[in-house]
Amino acid sequence: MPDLTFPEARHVPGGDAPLQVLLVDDDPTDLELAAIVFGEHDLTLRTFGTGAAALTHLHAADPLPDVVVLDVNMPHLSGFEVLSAIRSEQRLRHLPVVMLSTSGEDRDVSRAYDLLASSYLVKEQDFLAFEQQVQGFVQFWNTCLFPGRRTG
Amino acid sequence: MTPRRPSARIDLPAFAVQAALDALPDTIAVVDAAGVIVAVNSAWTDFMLDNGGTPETCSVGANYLSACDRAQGACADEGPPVARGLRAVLSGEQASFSLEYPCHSPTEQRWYRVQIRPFASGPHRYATVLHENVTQDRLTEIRSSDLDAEVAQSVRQQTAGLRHENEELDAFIGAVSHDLRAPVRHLSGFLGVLRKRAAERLNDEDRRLLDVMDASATRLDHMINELLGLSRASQTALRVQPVNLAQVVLRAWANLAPETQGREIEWVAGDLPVVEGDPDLLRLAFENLLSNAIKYTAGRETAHIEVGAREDEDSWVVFVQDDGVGFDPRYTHRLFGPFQRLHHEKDFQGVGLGLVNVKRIIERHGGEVWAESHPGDGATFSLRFPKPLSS
Repeated sequence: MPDLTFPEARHVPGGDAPLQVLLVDDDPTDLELAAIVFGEHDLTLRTFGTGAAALTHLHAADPLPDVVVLDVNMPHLSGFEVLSAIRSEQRLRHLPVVMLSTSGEDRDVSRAYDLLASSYLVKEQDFLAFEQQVQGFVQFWNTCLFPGRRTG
Repeated sequence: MTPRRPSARIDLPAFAVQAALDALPDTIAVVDAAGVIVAVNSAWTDFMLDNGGTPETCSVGANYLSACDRAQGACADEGPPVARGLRAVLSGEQASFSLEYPCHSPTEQRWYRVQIRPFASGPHRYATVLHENVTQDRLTEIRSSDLDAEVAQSVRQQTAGLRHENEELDAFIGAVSHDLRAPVRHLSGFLGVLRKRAAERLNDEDRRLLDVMDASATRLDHMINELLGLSRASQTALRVQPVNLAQVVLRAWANLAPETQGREIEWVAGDLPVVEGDPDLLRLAFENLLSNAIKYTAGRETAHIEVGAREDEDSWVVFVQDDGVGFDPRYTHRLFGPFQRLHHEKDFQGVGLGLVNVKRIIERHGGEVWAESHPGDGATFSLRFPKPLSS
């Protein structure tokens, strides 16, 4: 799985590092599309094709990403399992984790929040809508404060 | 009772009477008022000898009542009730007696029917005891009841099988539609990326082609969504409760606000009943019907859409009526089939699953759906809801 890391493009007023997003999705086409659309924004995106690869990265990562985005339906480790693993580790448990799914089935949504997901998004099917969805995501997390960063 | 006229009697010689009795295939004995056998036919004797009887108990001169009381062997169980019946007939308590009983031999299944009828000769009372072999009748009955049971069993199995297949099909539709969404998303996504990246190199015709592809991807996405909805409408467990259809219809109408924007619609909701059902699925059904009504009245300056109900003996009929273009009544039978369109896509958009959904939902509620068209002047869709058993 290609590790699509986009060069940091800094233009944050305060001079802070841009938003760090870690995205996990088993579908390479979805990953590529997401990389392109996230790439339209000022942030650093790291993508992984499996939950295992993402967890390995997180264990060693310093600093940690600001937000983790997990596809729900993945073979082997599902998004829920990766979420549980993150919540069960002292060093990772505080990470905001956004679930990204193709369906908004009630039981999936409930399960996500039961496992302490930070929020749940349904992948927009239409490209323009997806672009807007990513834009909204980026805008929201850019306004957030994270521990140890952007102390202004 | 017609009194016998003595003149009608013919006194046959005893041998002739015996010959007549012997000619009968059924076993017959004549007993006197005390139960003593006074005559038997050859069928009787043969039967007795074939079945381990002895002349002491079953021949002329033996007391049939005591033989029955002390019956041994294959059909011994029937002895006492036959004795009771014979006593009752001989005493005049009972006009006649009849009993069907099994009398299986070690080699075959047999059933008999004993019929005891009284007659009098002068002051003396007698009875005929006739054992008729009814094995064929019984076997036929047994076969037909076996057949009934077999048919019922196979109908049950087939129904269960069909239900299972339906459920599997619904699950399949759900899974496939779910999987189909990803490639459609990719199509739409990379078309969007391409459109952006190539923006400066594209001419009008190129952009038109991209528009066509986009529209197709969007349409495919809608179809998949409707399939998913259908699979959900079929698979979701019904949460049955009393549902006020008036509220359901109002909510459905409110949800359709985006479709009614900019339209002038005279909207009438009559008195609607409370039925037993799943409020969410019923709302979905009415959303589909009302959405159709809105869509097909688009040509009207002021459209009229009415929802009303009438009460039948054991059901409610709720109708959704519009004054839109209606549909060609020749194709009514295709209306509720999947992906059936009775109008051109360019005139009315849709993928043709709305009414399938309605049908599934209403049928799951034990009801039925039908439609009438008044081409050029609207359509009426009717839903029949069974009344709850308690009311």
